[in-house]
This record gives sequence, C-alpha cells and structure tokens, in this order.
Amino acid sequence: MPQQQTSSPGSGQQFDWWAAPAAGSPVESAEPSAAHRRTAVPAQSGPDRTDHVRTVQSAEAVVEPVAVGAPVHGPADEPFAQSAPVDPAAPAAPHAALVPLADAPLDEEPFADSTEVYRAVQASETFRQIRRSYRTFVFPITGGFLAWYLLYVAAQAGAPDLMRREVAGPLNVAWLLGLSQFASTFLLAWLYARNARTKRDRAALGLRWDTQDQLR
Amino acid sequence: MTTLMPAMLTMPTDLAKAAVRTAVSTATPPPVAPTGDHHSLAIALFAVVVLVTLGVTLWVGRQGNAAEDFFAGGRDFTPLQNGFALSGDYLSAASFLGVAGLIALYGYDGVLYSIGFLVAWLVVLMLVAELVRNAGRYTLADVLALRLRRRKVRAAAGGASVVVTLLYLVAQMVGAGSLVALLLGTGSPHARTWTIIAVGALMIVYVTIGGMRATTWIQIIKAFLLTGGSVLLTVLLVVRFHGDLGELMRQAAAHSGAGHRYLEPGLKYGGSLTSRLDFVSLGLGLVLGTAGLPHILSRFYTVPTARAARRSTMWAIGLVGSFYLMAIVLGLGATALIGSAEVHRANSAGNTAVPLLALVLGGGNGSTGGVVLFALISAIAFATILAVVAGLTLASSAAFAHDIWAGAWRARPSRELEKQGRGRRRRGEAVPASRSAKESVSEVSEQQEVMVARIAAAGIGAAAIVISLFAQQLNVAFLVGLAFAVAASSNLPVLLYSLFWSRFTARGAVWAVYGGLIPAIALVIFSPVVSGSHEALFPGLDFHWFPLENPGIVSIPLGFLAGWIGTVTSSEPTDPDRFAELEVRALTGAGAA
Repeated sequence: MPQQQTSSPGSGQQFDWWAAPAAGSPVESAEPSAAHRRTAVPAQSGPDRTDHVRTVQSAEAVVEPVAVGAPVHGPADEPFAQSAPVDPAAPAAPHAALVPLADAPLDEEPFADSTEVYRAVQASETFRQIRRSYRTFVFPITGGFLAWYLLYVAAQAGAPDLMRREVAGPLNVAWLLGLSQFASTFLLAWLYARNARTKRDRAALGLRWDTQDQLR
Repeated sequence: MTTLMPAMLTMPTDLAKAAVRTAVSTATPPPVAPTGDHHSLAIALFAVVVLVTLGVTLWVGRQGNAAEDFFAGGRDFTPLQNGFALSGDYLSAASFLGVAGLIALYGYDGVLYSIGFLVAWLVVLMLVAELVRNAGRYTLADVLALRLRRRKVRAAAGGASVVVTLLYLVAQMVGAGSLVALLLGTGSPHARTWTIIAVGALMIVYVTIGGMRATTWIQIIKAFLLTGGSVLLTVLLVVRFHGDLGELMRQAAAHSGAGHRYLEPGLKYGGSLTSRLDFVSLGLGLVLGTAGLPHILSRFYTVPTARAARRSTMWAIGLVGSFYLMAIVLGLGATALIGSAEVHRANSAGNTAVPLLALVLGGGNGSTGGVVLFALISAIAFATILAVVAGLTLASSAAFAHDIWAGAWRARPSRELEKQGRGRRRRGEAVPASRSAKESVSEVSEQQEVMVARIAAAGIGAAAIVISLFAQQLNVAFLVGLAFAVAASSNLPVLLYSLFWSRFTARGAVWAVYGGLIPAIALVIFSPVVSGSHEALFPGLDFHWFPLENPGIVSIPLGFLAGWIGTVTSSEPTDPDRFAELEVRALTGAGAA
C-alpha cells in the first residue's frame, strides 16, 4: 500500500488533500489531456460552477494554489491510480457530483440555513447515488462475512466430525476454513477499499466541496 | 485484546488436562526452565522502554494544548502512522503472549480464538471507520449527539464507554502485574503490586502530559517493536524448520501430548455443548465488539479525512492479520521445540510460551543469544502493556470529560453555538473548511474540557490502580470478554442505528445503550465466572444460573432489540433534519471536524 501524504507537515495549517481536487476540477475541465480523470465534469456547468467556487474559495488561501497546479495533483494524491486504472464505471459518479447545483435551488441562496442545505443535499440525486453505491456494496458483504464467520464458529459446535476430516498432510477442514477466514478478510478489505476508491470517493469529494460552499 | 487469559486455562477440559499430562511422557523438551541470569538484561531493557516512552511523551506533549491536540492528536497523523497505532491499541500483551500460548497448549482451538479478533476489523472498516471519522469529533457519543441532541443520550453513551474501557483497563493491569512478575522471574506478591502501581502511574503520566499525540506515538513505537519482534522470531523459527510448515505442524502435534487431536477442534472449547455454545457467544462478542471499542473509535479522529481513516484501517488489518498468522506459527513452534507440558509448567496459561521459544531460538538457556532474545521479547511485551493501558485511559478520560462532563452534565448549548459560529463565518473569512465552527466560539470551554480530561485521566487511572490491587488475587480474565460483549451489546447497536436508521430516536438510543449494557453485566454476575465454580471470582459463593461465561449471544440481540422497541414506542417524532445532516456529513465529509 503506498503511503499517501494527508497533511502538509510544518504548515501548521491543516491542509485537506481530500478536498483539493474538487476545487481544481472545474478549472481543469478545459484541458483535454486530463480528460480521463474527470471525464464526467459537464463542460457547460464549468463556468458558473467555477465562479461560485472562485468567489467562495478566494478566501481559502491554503487551497487555492494547489487547485491551480492541477496536472500534478492528480497522480500525486491518487496513489492507487496506477494499481487501478480508470474504472469504466467511475465516470458516472463524478458526473453526478455537480448535479445538485443545477437541480436544487441552492445556488440562488448559497447562504441558506445549514439544515436546509443538508436536506437539499440529502435529497439530491448525487447523494442518493453515493449512498446507494455505499449501501449496495457494504450491506450484502457485511451480511456475507458475518454469516461466513458465524457458520465457521458454529461448525465447531455443530459439526466437529466434519471439521476433523483430513484434507492434505497435517491440514484438516478446520485449518483450511480457519486460514480461508484470514484470506477472505484480506480479500474483502481490499475489495471494499477498491470499491470506495473507484465508485464513491470522487463523487463524495465533489459533494463535500459543494456542500461546504453552500454552508458558509 | 485479551489479557493474559489465565481463565483460558481455568476452564480446561479434562481432555486438555489429559493431553498435558501425557505430554510429559511423550515429548522430550529441551531444558529451558527460566533461571535468574537472563532477567537483569530484561530489567535494563524495561528501563529503556520506560525512558523512551517518557521522552516521547515530554517531547510531543509540548506540541499543542488545544482540545484537538489532546483528544485527537491534532488530526494530522498519516494513515500509515495511524494504522500502526490502531494495531498497537488493539494487540495487547495477551495477543502477543496469550494467543501464542493458547495455540501452544491447545493447538487449533487457539487459532479459532484468534480469528474473531481479525474478522472484527471488517466491521470496523466497512460500517464504522469512515462514517465515524466524518460525523464525530472526539468520541463515539459525538456521532450520536450530532443527530440526537439530548443530554441523556450523551450521558448513556459516555457512561457505556467509560464502563467498557474501565473493564478492559482493570483486566490489562491485573494481567500486567502477573506478567511482569513472570518475565522478571519473581513470583513475589510485592513485585506484582509494585508493577501495577508503576504501570498505572506511567499511564497517567503519558495521558495527562501527552494526550492523544503522545499516546499515538507510544502505540506506533510499540506496534513497530511488536511486529519486528514477531517477524524476527518467525523467521528464526521457519529457518530452523527449513521452511517446511507441514513439518512444523507435525512436530507440534507430536510434542503436544495430544497427537493428531492437537490439530483438531475441541481441545479447549469442545468439552460439552455448553462450552461450544460459549465459544459461539465469545466469537459473536469479539466480531461485533471491536467496532464499539471507544479507544479504537477515537483513533479515527487522529487522521485528517475519512479516506485516511479507511486507509489506516487497511493498514491495521494488514498488521493485525499478519501478526496473528505469525502468532499461530510461534505457538506451533513453541509446542514443537519445547512441548506443551513444559509450556504449561512454566505458566499454566501459556503466557511464557513465546519468551521461552525466544530463549530456545537464540541458542538455549545460558547462551548469549538466548538471553538477549528473551530479554528483548520481554521488553516488547512490557512496551505492549504500557501502550495499551495508556490508550484505554485516554479513551476513558475523553468519554468522561467530553461526553459526561461537558456534553451531559454541564450541557452547554452546543447547537446554538454551532449556528452562531456558522453565521459568523459567512463574513469572517479564512476559516478553513475542515475546522469546526464550534472551535472559535467555545475555546474557553474546550480548554476547561481538556483540563477536566486530564483530571479524569488521573482519577480513572487511580481508580484502576486501586481496583486492580484489590482484584490481583482474583481471576479477572473474563473481563476482557465482558468488555467486548458490552461494547457489542450497547455501543454497536446505538452506533449502527444512528448511522443507518432514519427513524431512530433519542429514546431508542438510550434504550439501546442500557438494554445492552445492563443484561451483559447482569448475565455475567450470574454466570459461572463470578460464582459457583472454583475458578470463579468468588469461588466460595454460588448464585449462578446463567450457564455461559460470555453473555454476548443473549445481550447483543437484546441491545439491538431494545433500541428498536425504544424507537417504535417513542412518542417524539424523528427529526429528519438532523438525520440529513448526519447522513450527508458521514458519507461525504461535508462539515467534518
């Protein structure tokens, strides 16, 4: 696992790498070279989106410089980009990230009460998409591995003879199941991280940025 | 994790006893009974551990005094650092010495025991880590309070956190007393007493001076040492067997005294249906409890983003998983090279299996290599004890100061402050998005909160010392299983309901906490670990009626059920606004601290 730098040491100020690309993306959208990275940023939403981000962001001196250095930051803070090249499904998510600005009445009233902002974001298609993507992955898998572990534990109690059956050399069914618990744990952790990275992270990041803009 | 599980052996099946007895005749263990000569080096290394950790505490303790520094270590640790710290908080001396010892004595059943501790991390990774990082600030109760703004919710959740950490802390400290005495080769009660006092005093110093920053660094150092020590021993062992793990297993079975049954389930947890059911109950508690442990949850606040929290959990899974794999190999190795009977003779819970193995791998008793390796492993175990108790004390004091004192007892109107803060920030530019609005407004209260947390750490530490001194002659190993069971029965239901159930209400939250906490504690009081057997806490009395030693299988469903009933019978309407805020914050990180 490559190590991602999540804070800028020595800057004293907490710098949020997580949030930086969002500020950059509307600005970059003019460059075709990086298109695969944010394929889905709708070109037409670029201008007014940028304005909005600019006005609000101009205060955030911390974020601004990095957002401009756009071509560099992509690979730099996406250490997984190499291991997992562009996922075919990924473009769908970032696309959605900018929708709430268009369909919710938030842009007209950017300083709305925080409750209204959260309600509007929650109702937006982007957010529903993120939530659906998270829940459809996590709930079945959690049910699956809990059932798999409990079956394994229950098998000691219920079917000890089956567990004693020898398979290969000194290994019996119990050892194989136990070792496959290790393997499945590693595998599922990796699958979850990959899923979150490719299907959810970018959209969630965009939405975080939008929501925070509206909140201030 | 578990402490030194003496109780693991306190309920050995007749089978296992027979196995150990037969081992005396079949195995031909090398003469490795610990003698005095290797203990002076161990003492010197213990002193080095203490000096280094104190130095780290003093050094990083000066880096900041804000609430964010004290409770969350400034939130600027990297995922790698926090991953090490998470595994450091999680792997106690008991995992290092206890699990390997359990495997050395009971073979496969020890492996079975260790798996629950790893699988639990998937719950943490998928359901808890990122959402908690985004939704909370310092403690578990923050997540609930974001949605259910009631003092009683905070008080209940904070109280449950204090109970869980205190149970765990007492188990660790009593264990530390006997373990250090064992490693130093003195069985005297004085050594135990002074160890408990010294460990308690050190943890108070770490926490009050260094807060989360120092605690995290101590965990990192400890996890690094622990991993390094395990890798070293595993490599030496595998080289000794020329990389043939099958041969290692066969040798272990041959020297276990139980033959092929050593590699099969049942030596420890297979005695009767009750004991098998007991293991199911324990396993359920282990898998679900980890995600409700306050000292694990508060660790996610030490990284800047939810994504960093996810990545630190990935690191922790990698470290914890490889650690348990190595513990399996070391446990088998201890049996293969020393024999179950000898391991059992040195310590009936098998806690000295790994140090003895180190002695053998280094060249045997009396050899320089053996002595150095033994001392090194003992010092690592000691560092492990110190780190784990410090993490627990910090989590406990945070729950007390932040939830019970500031959130519930003083009940400052945090919602109003937050609104004002937001309003002010519209014009007052340059407040970074990741900073909380509250911070600027209520700095004074936060300073008081830190002060209260420091006092609470000293108070809780002192209480833990006193309880441990009284309990040191008692068999308290069940406390670890109980801590996990309470965490799974009260903390996890309330956390999951808050994060995922839109209809959840404050009443449901309070019911979920008490509906899990009270049955878990009550069932244990009426279980065989407290009375009615000669290994019980009070061997002379008998008022037990609950057959299992672990309450999880009953209390965990009860906690979830109580939360559900409390919610559906609640007269107050659910607040969709607050749930919207929680959901959006948890999944996107908008407005996260």
